[in-house]
Amino acid sequence: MKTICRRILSVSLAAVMALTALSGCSGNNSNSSGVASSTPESSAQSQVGKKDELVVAISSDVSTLEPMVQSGQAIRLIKTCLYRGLMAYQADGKIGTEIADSYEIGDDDKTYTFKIKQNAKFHDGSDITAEDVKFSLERILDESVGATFRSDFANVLDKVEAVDTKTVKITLKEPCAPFIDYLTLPESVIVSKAWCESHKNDLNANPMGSGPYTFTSWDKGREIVLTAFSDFYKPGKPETKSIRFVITPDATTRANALQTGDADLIDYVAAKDITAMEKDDNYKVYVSEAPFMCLQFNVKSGPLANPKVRQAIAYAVDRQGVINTAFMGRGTQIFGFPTQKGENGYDGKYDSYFSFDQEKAKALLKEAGYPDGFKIKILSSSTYDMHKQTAIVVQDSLKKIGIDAEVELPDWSTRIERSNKGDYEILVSGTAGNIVDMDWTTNYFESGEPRMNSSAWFSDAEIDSLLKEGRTTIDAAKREEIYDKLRKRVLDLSPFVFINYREQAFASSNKVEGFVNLPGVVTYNSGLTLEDTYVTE
Amino acid sequence: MTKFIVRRSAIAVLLLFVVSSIVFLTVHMMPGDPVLLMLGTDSNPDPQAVEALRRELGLDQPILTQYVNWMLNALQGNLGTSYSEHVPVMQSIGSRLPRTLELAGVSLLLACIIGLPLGVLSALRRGKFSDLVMTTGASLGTSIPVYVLGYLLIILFSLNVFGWNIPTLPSSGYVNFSKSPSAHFQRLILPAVALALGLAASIMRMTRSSMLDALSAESVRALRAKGLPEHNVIIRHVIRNAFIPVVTVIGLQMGNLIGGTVLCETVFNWPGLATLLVKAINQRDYPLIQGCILVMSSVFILTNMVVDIIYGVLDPRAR
Amino acid sequence: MDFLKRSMKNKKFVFSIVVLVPLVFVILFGPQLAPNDPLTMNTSSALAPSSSQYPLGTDEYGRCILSRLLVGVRPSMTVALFGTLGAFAAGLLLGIFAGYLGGKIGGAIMRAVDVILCFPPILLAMMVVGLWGAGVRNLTVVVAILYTPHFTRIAYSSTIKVRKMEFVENEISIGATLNRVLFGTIFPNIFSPLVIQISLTVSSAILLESGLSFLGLGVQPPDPSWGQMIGDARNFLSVDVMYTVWPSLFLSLTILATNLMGDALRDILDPKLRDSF
Repeated sequence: MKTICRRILSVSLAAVMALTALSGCSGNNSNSSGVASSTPESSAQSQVGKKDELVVAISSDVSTLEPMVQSGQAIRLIKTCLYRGLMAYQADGKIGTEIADSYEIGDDDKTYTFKIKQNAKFHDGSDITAEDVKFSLERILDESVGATFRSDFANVLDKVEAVDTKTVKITLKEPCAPFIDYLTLPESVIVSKAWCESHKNDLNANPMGSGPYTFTSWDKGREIVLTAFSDFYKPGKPETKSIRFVITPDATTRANALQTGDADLIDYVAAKDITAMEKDDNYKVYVSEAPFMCLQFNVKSGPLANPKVRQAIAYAVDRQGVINTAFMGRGTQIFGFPTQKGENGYDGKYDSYFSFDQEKAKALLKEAGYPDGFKIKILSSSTYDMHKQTAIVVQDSLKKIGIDAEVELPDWSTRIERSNKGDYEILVSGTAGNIVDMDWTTNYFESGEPRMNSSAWFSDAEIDSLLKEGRTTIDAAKREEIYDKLRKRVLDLSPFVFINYREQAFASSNKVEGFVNLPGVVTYNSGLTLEDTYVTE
Repeated sequence: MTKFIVRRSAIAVLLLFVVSSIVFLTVHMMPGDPVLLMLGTDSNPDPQAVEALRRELGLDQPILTQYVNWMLNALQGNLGTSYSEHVPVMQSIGSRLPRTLELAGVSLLLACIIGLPLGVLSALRRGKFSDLVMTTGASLGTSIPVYVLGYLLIILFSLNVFGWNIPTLPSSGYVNFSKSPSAHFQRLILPAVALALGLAASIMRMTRSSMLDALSAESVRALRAKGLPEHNVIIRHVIRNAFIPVVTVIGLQMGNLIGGTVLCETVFNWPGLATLLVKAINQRDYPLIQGCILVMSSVFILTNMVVDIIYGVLDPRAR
Repeated sequence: MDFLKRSMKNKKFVFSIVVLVPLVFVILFGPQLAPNDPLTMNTSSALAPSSSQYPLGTDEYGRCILSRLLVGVRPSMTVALFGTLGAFAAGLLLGIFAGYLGGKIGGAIMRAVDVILCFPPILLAMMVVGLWGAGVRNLTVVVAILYTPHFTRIAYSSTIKVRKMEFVENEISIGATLNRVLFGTIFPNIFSPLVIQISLTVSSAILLESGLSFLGLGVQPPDPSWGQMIGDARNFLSVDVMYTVWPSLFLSLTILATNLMGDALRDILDPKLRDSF
């Protein structure tokens, strides 16, 4: 999959490559190729010129280190250091193996046989076995764990069998094209059966996985410290002896921390700071574009039940206005469907399905029987500025086509409760699919009870069947056709109005090497590259 | 005296009970659902997991049952387990409270060191130019919001935009005293100053007006008429009398001080009780909200009680 | 006339009048004075510096900052003034009754009011806003509740003092109605400290409103308010310092003027009475 990666990203990538090449020549660094077998001792020696500690200021407080609960994108940075799954998106944006050494898919497209790496160990020193994989996948299905992707796995998983100590066979109920994608989620990681059984299944209180870093200390609300795991299955990794995650919720405070040297790396860089830091040689900025802003509608009754009204809104929203206001001019307008070119064979044919055309919007409203507009409420939240600002710009856009909208800005908790119940008319949302595969759309457009990422009460039989077909079809060409139809249908019915992509950015001092912001949605899995990250002295 | 203290303590306990009841009910009536937030806000939580968690936390019980349970536990010193931190509330608060008390304490001390002498001085020079400068400064001090002052300090002393030849101070964060005392105090200076200036201004204003009152009192005029040396009159009689209402004001200002820590901790990322409370409210972490407010109110009620008692000692008529 | 003469001699009074008279003018005629519509967005010129079209520049939505300042004074002042008046009315009634009745009932009223003082103001405000939602009306109620104890305490302690005085005792002994004693005799005698408290409360209330906005709990957008403008502007401190400076300046100046007005009133109304809070 291809995404818009800013110049800075490529520059910093090039810098990393140049540096590894350089140190490879001087023979200083044994990590430049994965095959070099370096012992922990030699990896410690290679720390010459590297600081012992990497300080990361993260935006969100950590509510839980339970890996199977998706408790926030920022926390995934930490979770990826502690835990690893069978597969993961790698620094190049492609799926690669982690704990798995290799895998095969059976002819029925329903059986997956994974070989586990011989040297894969948990932090307590025990080997990772097929039993652990079986335990972990079944743990996701365990209600008491509260795994975020429980129903996604429950829908497809039939059984998991340990063939021998290092071989595991997963059988699905029906073919599922995006299954490997689901295995790359930072919430689908492998945990130790023995450890969970002896620690009341409480991984939050007793975090223990197989990632490059082991858990050292957690000062609630302030910082989490991790230490390099010497038996990590990637020889020579991680590059730094310890990582300190400092919880810094305020964006300005985070930027200040980087400027004053209190932090080496920060996440969720605000748009204004991206622009400023890009101009400053003291910083590296890592940008990828993935999440998008959109409007969701309660389509149960009233004007919004009419697709024409929703299309009118799609024409009316001043997308550049949202970008200018909420993202300091940084971002890309979406006039079609939020699929990047190349994703599941998408050729960009719907990229200008809508346009910014208030006259057309008014005409559509008239056709729908609302020539004088109507009154409506927009639900957003005061907790996040971008949500608030988007709502205010949309309100302004709607006013121009005669729709009199009132903005409601409760705090985030209230907003979540109301959106999950479908208690809104228009909802401002900032979201991203959980996986790269187009199957992410199932969560958004499938009919059913109102949920966070769906338009409340939206239901369309054609879309439902396309989603199902897309998931169970393995042939890539056929899937392209299916998802092409889906996009068209979704745009016609406009249960969502897509506004713009926003940037997801990290920033570091110019002494930080090795960090990569993964492209697109996988930006949220960028924590993987913390194993390559270090600070030069 | 003992009777007075006992009575004041009994009132304090009663107040705490009322406060915690109000907080419990208010918190549970707030819109928002802690369970949804605990199970992740970036995706849809699984409905069955939501039900299971609600049962586990006892949130499916009638509110009265929950209230009685919480109160019974609280009476035994058990404030429950935080939803978002997964540790006993007492432990969460225990690690944060000292930091907030340190910030508030240092600010209060700083405010007194600045406010009291300036107040006395300004009263003694009433009407002179220096008085005008000091009162204007004080008026300004009470007029600038804590957070505006906070960002101003960061711009000036941390980002050092004017390139002054001074050592820059860290803008944020917290380092344990045991780890590095100097780093600890470096990070304490800016938030403490931001919090202290407004308070110092209030204390100064109050000291000044209280001093003026005392200076114009009949008894002081009588003492002067008797021919006592002026400095003697001022130190022995005026200041003593003037400080009684100042003590009250400092007590009353504790509320603003604790409120100020909410804003100040946010600006400077000081990981104290106030930021914990803001997080708890955002997460609808019921036990933690109740615990935090209970502790903050206790601190507050306790200071007021102590102020009352000191007042009673200084001025027996007030009992 | 004597009052006016004394007032004009007081420098603080003159300064506060110099600030407050234009302020009242702006409160009344803000929308007419505004050079642009405060709600009209021009997102392509967001955060623009000052120009002839936008004298103080634009905010992140490209709206005219000056116009928003001129219009935005209303919600802040509505919250502060009406909240304070509410607190004044409630505090006066509670305090005067408690002070007049004295004994157990008076004590009970005072303790009940003290409950409010057990919450740091901003915490109580956060709880109430969390429960009812933000907005001018709710914030006004919050301010009224929060500052009732201050007025109650002053009314109470002053009433107790006045109650013991001979002329009040006399009036009671000749059988005047309760209403007459409380509001005809006692009230005029405790009026001064309450008036002084009003000006102090107004400034605290403006501060509180802006503090709540800082935490995202203030007046609802898109309507402007000074507090909310600072809350929004702080995000752009590193990009556009003046966006923060203007509303901060207006706000601080207004608070300064109300504070000085309080001081001046104290000097003028009752030079002897200084036990304000």
